Amino acid sequence: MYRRVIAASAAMAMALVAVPLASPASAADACALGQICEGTATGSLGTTKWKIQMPAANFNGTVLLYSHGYRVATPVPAALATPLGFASSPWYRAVTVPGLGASFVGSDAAQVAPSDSVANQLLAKGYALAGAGYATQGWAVAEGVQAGELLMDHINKGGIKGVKKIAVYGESLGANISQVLAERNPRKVSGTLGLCGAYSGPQQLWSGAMTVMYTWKTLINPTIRGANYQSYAQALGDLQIVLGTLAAVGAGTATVSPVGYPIAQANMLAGLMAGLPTNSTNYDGFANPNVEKIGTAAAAAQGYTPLSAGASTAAAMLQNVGAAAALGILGRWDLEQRARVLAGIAATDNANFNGNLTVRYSALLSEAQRNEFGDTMNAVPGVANNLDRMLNALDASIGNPALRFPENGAAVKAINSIPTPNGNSFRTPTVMVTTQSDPISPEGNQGFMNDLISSKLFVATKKGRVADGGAGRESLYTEPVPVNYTKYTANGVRPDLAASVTESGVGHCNFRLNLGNGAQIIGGMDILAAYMNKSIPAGQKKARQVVRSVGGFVNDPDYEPTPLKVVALAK
Amino acid sequence: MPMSRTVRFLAGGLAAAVTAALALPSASMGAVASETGVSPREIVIGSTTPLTGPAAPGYKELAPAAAAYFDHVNKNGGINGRKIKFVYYDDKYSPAETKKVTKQLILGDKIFAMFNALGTPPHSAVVDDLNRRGIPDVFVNTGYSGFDNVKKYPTTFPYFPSYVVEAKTMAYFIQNTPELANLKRCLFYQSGEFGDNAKAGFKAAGVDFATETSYFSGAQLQPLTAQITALRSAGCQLVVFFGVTSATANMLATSARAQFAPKWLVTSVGSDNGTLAGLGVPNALLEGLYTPSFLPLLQDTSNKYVSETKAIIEGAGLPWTYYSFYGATSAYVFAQALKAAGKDLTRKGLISALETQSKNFRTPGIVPLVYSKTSHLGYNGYFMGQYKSGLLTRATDYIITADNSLTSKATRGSYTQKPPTAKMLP
Repeated sequence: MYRRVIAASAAMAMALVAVPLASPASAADACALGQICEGTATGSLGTTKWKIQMPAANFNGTVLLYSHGYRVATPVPAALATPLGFASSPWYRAVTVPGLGASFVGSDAAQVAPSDSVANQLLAKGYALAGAGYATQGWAVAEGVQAGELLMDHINKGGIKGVKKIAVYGESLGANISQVLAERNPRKVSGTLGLCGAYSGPQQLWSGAMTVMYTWKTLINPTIRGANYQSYAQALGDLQIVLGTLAAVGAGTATVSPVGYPIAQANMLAGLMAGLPTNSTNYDGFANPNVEKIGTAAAAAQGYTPLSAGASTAAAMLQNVGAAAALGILGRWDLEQRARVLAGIAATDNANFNGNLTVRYSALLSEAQRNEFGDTMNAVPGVANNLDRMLNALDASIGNPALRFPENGAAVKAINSIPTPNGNSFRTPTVMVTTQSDPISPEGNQGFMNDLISSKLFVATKKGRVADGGAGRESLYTEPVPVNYTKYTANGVRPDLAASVTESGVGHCNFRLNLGNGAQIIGGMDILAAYMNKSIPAGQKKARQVVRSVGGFVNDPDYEPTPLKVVALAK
Repeated sequence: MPMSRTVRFLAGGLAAAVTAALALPSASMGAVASETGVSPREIVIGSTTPLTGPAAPGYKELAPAAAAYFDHVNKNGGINGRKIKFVYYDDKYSPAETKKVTKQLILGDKIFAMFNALGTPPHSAVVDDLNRRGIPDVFVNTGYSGFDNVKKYPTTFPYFPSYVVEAKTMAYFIQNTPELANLKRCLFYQSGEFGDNAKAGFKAAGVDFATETSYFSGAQLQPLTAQITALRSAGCQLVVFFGVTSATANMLATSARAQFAPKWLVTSVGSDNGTLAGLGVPNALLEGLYTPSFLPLLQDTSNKYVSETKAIIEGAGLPWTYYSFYGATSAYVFAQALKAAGKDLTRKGLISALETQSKNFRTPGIVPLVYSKTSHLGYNGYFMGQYKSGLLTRATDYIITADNSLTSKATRGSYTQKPPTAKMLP
């Protein structure tokens, strides 16, 4: 289920420093045990809905304030919304739009937990839950932070009785919001739990999207616009092309692009250069075991697919690019619209906020990736050195503004002014949990956030830079199921795509359900509680216990996530 | 510490202060009393190699042969009082499998060092992680020249000559052999890093080709008719081939059917006659084929490396082949490195021993084994061999040496092989 996409309302008012304007709650407003209380609060960025859900009994004094992930702000036609999961999401609502017909758009409903199951488990532990909708949807960090601050004010001014601590937690974009909330409100926030955070912010995330879209435009479909959308129809058109092409490749009705490149290999190259995982919810990246027995050529003759580990990754990359496409395209539409509003960029002027004019794409394919997957990308009958051929085509247009996407400095400045985490919450206990294989917010985001916090642990004094200390911190990575999870049809020839979707543990925030519904999230909260309420050693002990008892976590003290692909290093 | 914790430090020199501030347990700080994988009685080493699957023929003999040699060492007292525990897993030449079993070796088996990991694509999937963790990555079984990079891969030590070195030595042989120098020469290669390395070596040596053609990995058993037709139409008199053994078999068979009979010069990784025979290539098709080699000839039982290793291999009930010879003798060199690292065995000590003492090792190569603090080249050249009546013979009584530089050529060299130690014990 795709739950986090960004979009925008061009009419939004966006002051970047939140100024809460809500009137304080009175003691009479306090939400009682067992109650669900709802209301609205108004700030400089608009009015937001909030919700508080109290435990039935034994409130432990800690309020968990949740920030939800992306919700698309612009209606998406049902034909696209359904495969993206919007149509079945409780956080989207059906609308009918002239010209688009039946569509779905993210709602502004308040949300207190990632799922009902997680909410019930947290309530049972005595937590009070709180959460807001945002005044607008899309990349709504500023709106989410203001909503959270308004809600904290409400809680602290009597919205809940007996509050000792407020901890913030959030998923995906909501993890970013939670982090910023903690950084800006060190005296109000006692701890942070970030789930599959997109911490590196829009410039980094959409540089990956740019890599994919530029590769697609060059090697697969030149009619793709890619950036600087001047109408919503242009963005929807790009999304239609990408999803339609991926579906055709999956169905075997498209193999070579109109410009003569193999689509699956070109898409694989795009994903590798963007740093997307080499496995997906259905494809584990391992060879079909039957192929291993009979050999690649014999398997090809017998109709086996995917044939090898590399081919499994090529298939996985089709899924991963499909999963990331909505964020990459609709999210870009949203951000460009925000840039237009913030910087006063006219609808006909360039609103691209991350240019690629000088990017040397071949530098984004690492030596290890080239060696590991080169054979697969070269496996094109009748074509010598297909990989170099594709890379040469991508690099050939360096400096050519007609074939690349120049940026507008004003748009860059506008997007950079949207709040992003800066690591200043290093004195607040922080727990982060993400999946190892996440095509929306790659695991390197969590490593990035760790580095950011670590970089703040030293302060300048008269005696030089000294360690500040900081608070307890844990960074957990969840693993896919331990066995190869691509299952095959009875005769072993083709993958059975329905066999293990929810069990793989691969995907954006796709924590392992087979370990107990939400157990990895609850485990993360238990660790945070130990850090907040006891001590650093107690938090560390709890972390070890959670890793052992819940399972599905990387159990390796020296683990480091795959670093993000930094496009700036390829310029 | 059984958990996932990632606290990376941007300022390495300040790491200890940060760690103390975070009050991490000492186990995460690397300040441990003994080295991972080393106990008073045992050294644990690991390997990943294809034992099954399409890449297994030939290669599957390497690890069992090395294990047989380590058993031989263990029966004779071990190394500095420690027995070697050699754990190897089948990775099927699949990078995803390699990651999986390497993780098991590191976290489950807690290896001290990786030994003889095989294949450029599989090893590329784990080499960064091994180096980041400081795990010695000794005698990698791939000719990819990029692994000879002390700055990027300080713990990785290639063993057999790189494809760049091999191409340069082939170029030297062509240029200095009157019978070949003036023939119309053509190149047939596998697309990707394998062929790229070869082409880089030939370019550095100043050798070009009248025609080039290629196949891609995975298609080596599909018809090569188009490529052979192209070579034949171009009038190629000498075909230099850089491909895997199964592709060599396919190429020779296809050429025979087309009555195309140029002189062949084939990469060492694609020319083992035992493996080719297993793929159905008769000796007649190999007659006269040139191929480089850096090990003594298998039939030369006057060479102590051959006779002693053969006894160990056959004593263990294993087949006596080029690959079992290679596997056991590379284990012999590794054992010497372990001994040279001293009783207080550490990963850093092993790397230092390889970099500073390898010139004292007894090695089976006909060419020097070159390691230093600035180069992890490995064996630095070849002699040229030629198949005659099903046996590889020496076509040159000299050796040809080179390095991985893309600006220098190979040169004619000389090297006197030192005999092995008694019973081939380190």
